[in-house]
Amino acid sequence: MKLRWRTGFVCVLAMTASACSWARFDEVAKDAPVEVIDKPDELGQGFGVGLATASLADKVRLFVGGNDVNSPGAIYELGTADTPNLEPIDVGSCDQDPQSNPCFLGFQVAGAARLTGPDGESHDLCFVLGIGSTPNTGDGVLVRCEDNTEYAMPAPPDANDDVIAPAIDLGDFDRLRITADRTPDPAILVGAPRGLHAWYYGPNSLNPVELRPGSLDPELTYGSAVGIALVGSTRVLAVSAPEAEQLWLFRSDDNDSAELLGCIGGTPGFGRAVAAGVVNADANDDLVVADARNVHVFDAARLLELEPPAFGVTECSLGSLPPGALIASFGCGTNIDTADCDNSDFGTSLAVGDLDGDGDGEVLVGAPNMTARTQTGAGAVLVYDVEGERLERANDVKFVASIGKDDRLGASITAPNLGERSIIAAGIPGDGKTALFYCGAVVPKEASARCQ
Amino acid sequence: MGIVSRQSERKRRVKDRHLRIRSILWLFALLVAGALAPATADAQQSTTQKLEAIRAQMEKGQAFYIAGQYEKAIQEFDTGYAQYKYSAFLFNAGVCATKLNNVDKALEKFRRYVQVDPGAPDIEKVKERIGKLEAAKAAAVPAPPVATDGGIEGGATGVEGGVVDAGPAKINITDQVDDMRSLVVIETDPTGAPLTLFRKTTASAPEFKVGAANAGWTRVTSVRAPANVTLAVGDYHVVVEKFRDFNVSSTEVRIEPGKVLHFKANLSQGAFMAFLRVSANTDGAHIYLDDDRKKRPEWGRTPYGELIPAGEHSLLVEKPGFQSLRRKVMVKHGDQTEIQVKLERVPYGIVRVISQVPKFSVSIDEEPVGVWNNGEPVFERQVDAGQHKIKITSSGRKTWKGLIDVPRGQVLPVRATLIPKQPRGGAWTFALLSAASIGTGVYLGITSDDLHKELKSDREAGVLDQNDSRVDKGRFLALGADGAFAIGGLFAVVSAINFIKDPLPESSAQYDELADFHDPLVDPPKEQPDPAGIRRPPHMRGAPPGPAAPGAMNHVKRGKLARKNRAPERQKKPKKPPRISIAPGVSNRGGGIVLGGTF
Repeated sequence: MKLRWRTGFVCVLAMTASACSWARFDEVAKDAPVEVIDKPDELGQGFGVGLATASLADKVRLFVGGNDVNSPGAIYELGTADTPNLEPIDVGSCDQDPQSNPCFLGFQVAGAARLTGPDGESHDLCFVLGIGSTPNTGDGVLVRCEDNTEYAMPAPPDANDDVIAPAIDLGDFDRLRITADRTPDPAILVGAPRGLHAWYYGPNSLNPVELRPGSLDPELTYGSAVGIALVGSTRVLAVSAPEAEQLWLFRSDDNDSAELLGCIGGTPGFGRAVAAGVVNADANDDLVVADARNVHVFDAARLLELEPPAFGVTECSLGSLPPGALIASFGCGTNIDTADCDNSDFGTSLAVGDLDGDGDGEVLVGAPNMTARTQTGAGAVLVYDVEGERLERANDVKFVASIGKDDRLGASITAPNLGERSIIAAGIPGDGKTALFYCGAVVPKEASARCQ
Repeated sequence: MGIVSRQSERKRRVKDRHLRIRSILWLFALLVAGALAPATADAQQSTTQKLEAIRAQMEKGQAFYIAGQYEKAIQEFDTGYAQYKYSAFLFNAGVCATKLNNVDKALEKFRRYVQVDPGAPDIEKVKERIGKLEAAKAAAVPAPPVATDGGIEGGATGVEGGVVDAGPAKINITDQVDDMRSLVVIETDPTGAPLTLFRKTTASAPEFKVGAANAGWTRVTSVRAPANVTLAVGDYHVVVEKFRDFNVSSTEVRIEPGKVLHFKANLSQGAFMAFLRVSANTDGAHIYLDDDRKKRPEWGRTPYGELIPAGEHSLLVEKPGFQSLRRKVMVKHGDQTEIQVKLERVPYGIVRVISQVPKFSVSIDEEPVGVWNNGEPVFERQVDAGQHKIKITSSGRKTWKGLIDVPRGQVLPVRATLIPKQPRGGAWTFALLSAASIGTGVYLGITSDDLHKELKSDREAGVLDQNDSRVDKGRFLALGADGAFAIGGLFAVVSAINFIKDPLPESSAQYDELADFHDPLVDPPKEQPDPAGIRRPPHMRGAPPGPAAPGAMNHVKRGKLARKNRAPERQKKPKKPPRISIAPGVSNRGGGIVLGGTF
């Protein structure tokens, strides 16, 4: 008995002594699977509200936007390797003086590998920021590129009058929702929810195409979320009116026109977030739409088969979907580390990214109010993998280990493409940070040294 | 007056005669063996002791005489006379000188004899002897005289050729051992009684009868007691004449050569007496005569002799540390009986422990036998004789262990020097600090380990960020744990050193010389406290004589009984409030933080 006690004591001492090498903490923290971008000192509150990526060759830029005009964004170079530069390469995007050179940062910002400016030149690695004005191009949707080129894409006349002018002239701005497709020369889709406008720029085009729904309640919003899905050379443009539980779909087969495809919806909050990307096995994009409780994945190619609603019809439903259009629907799920799905704001943000590099993308859903590790409102990003036409279970839940209360991780999500695969970038506006998730359950360990 | 009256008168006469005979108490006081021969006579000596010394001196000279060592004999007799002016020494010295043909010295001694004891019974014979010696001397110097009468023969061997050779005087006296004189001391109680000594001159002479013609008996001398008479060898009869109201009494005495005899006539006692002397293998043993219950004071202590009534007596000899001895002894009138007893020691001894500390505990053979506190009697325990393990402990002192060999019937004094223990306060302080540090280290290490596991788990889950505050926290905890272990180890080493280090010597003990059991009759109680402030046990202070006296051992505590009898109530010391002090300390005993205080 005594011998066992002594042996145990010696073991405890040895174990404890061996466990208290501080070097192992350096090892465990070295090349951590999550990199966190801290808010630059120059920026104000809300850092991480909006995220966008622009990739070109080995350059992968991440735009992290702030809350409002007083919180402009910063651009970071992530690179295609796993060693991002956590210091911003550009701070002060859209930080012009509102009086002389106004810029009102959009809620959702778009990134593009290349954009053709008013000068007819193609500019690399541009971000479409929001409402702005430049001396040369006047008022419109402000674009800022790597070469510091800034210009404003003109808005449709009605939108200019309803959205751009009040902001420029009166400071009464509408936080635009802007997105771009995944092509190197992408089309741009802009939503102005307060102004009930949405418009579209075709690839290499500065000609805005007004996207008008069949009918719209003027008391509600339109353009709260926008998405562009590529089906072959056709683009399916999605503009949501979540208060009306509607998602209006348009198709564009060229740079200067778009026609109404139809309307889907019918569930509360339908369309509160929209994303597009390759989810299933085919090469076409799929459309990911969130409502108040669930996230739905639609086959964009099938959505092209939609027929426009009869004139005067204002209600949309999923009943008119073509067969096979709905690939999957899934709701919030929890694991040992997360809780409180009901209040998690599941679906606040969406993104599609090929995390595992297998060619099809995983659906990333932000739940910024989820309780993570007992921290209320810490937020989480839930990762869903859809293999073929079948939804796999929720494969992963992402959060920052050092998360805190009301950090609101997942208020914004994007999936920067590093070339072979994508990673998760999730804003943590509550803590003024942005997290880059390089590893996860769906990511093979050999994908990165960080995942070893 | 009829027949009856005559018979009664005859009975009365017989009875009177017996009473007269019984009224003479002749005491033989002689030959007390082993007496000292002091270099200087002590005026305070008792008569018995003095006579013993005289006797010893006389017998020593007599022994040399018998051995033919006349010179040494003369020396002894001269020494005796120098100390005790008894003429017998002078006569015997003269006889020895005669044996040596030393006429001058012989003459000197005999003339001195005549001078100092003119009333000696043999004074005429001594004078005659002087005459012979003078004649022999006269004949030896001018011409060798020839003396054929008187027993003196000249020293010349003859005359031849008209030449006369002068030589030493030839003394024609052939003294034998029986010619040596003895000293007879005669006393009476009451003193002053007239004495007459008669010598048996005819071997076939009938028994001496007082008042009869006593043919064959010659009156030697008449003196008054006390008297010292130098007598030649022979059979004498001493008659104590009628004195005051005491009747005549007498006794026969045989005088042997070179002896000192002591006679005492106790005229007032009506029993015959004998002399009994008791000695033992140990001096100082208490002798109780006819007093088995020891209701009277002891009769004497060995070696001891005294006149006692003739008859059978019971003898009890005992001494602390020895087993009592009882025996019957029969002594006869006029006998000199010597009893030599051998006392066996008791089968146990006493261990006496003395130490310089104010309190100590003693265990013997692993059994606690008692606690001694300052002010209590000396610690003593009775233990079976033989080898025993002993352990002496004292609070704050190093324990001493040893092996003792307890003697039978004796006290083994063990004087223990208990050395203070090396103070371990610093060691304990460091041990506690070490334990606290190691405990802290264990806690920090475990916490750090938990954090590391969490971080590792998060890393595997892909959610660990490089800015995770737990990394720094874990690193800090690990560093803290390592530091705590290091400090704890250091404290442990210091503690171990302080525990092991001990510059003080071990406790020790020495065995004092074995002592006899305390004898309360010899060492009476002392009421005054011991100067050293140590109260001695009753048996050390003495005890009243009587039945309990040999039981001095009863005072020795025995086992549990001893603990029950633990003594004297101690004065309660006023309680001091507890006081604790913690202070750094450096000394040759070690260094560190010392936790001390009084509680």
